[in-house]
Amino acid sequence: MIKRRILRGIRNAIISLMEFLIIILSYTIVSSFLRGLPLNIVTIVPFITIAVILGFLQGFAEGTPYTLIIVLLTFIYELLILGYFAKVLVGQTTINGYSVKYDFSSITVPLLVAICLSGISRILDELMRITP
Amino acid sequence: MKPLGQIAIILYILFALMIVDLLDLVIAISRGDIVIEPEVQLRNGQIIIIVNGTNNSFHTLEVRVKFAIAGQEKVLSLTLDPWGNALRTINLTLSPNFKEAVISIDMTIDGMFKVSIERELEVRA
Repeated sequence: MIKRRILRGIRNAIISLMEFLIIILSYTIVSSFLRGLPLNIVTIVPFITIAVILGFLQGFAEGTPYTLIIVLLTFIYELLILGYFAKVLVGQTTINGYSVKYDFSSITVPLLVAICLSGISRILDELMRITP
Repeated sequence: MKPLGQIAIILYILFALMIVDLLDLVIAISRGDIVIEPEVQLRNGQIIIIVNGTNNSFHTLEVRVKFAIAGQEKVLSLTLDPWGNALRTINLTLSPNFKEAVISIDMTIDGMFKVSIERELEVRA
């Protein structure tokens, strides 16, 4: 039973890793270009680690009353990450000696809607499962 | 709740496409593929405002250049299609007792990304 839970947790952790790796890596590349900084992969490690832990817990706790709490935590974490990166996409930089203001935050709109929809869908699924 | 999840997947794909578009745009700007050259010239006592835009990228740009010269403001708008050029000119009759103009360039790229630049420009005879 425990072995099956761990395997399910690992599967979920891998899915979370893939999801967050795409989002965070693309944001990191964009912000590195905008700010003229060398690409620093190390900065994304804490974000990915939390996402993987949450993914693992979600799989591990599947079928227990704790799943709803973990699903809620994951949803809040996704929104926090989105807010953090939306801040990166608005700012000022220097290109060819000129000060340039940029606002690329409109890119976060589809992601915000997607996170909300998938979060609500997962929360409703959990609620329907636990209500008799 | 399957339909909500499916819509979310479509939106995730849309986001991935937008990120690729933004990455390409940032690379194009840093490589100098998009060039907007505003110029203020003084010819025969007349002020000539020129905006020359060159776009060597896949992006569509809507450019709005605002010139502030001797207390007057003039706006020039141009649309740069992918791999396109555009040139806009306005003639002004002003007292030529000034050396500098302040310009601000507002660009809307692909209808969603906003970039603005403000700088001073020397008037050329």
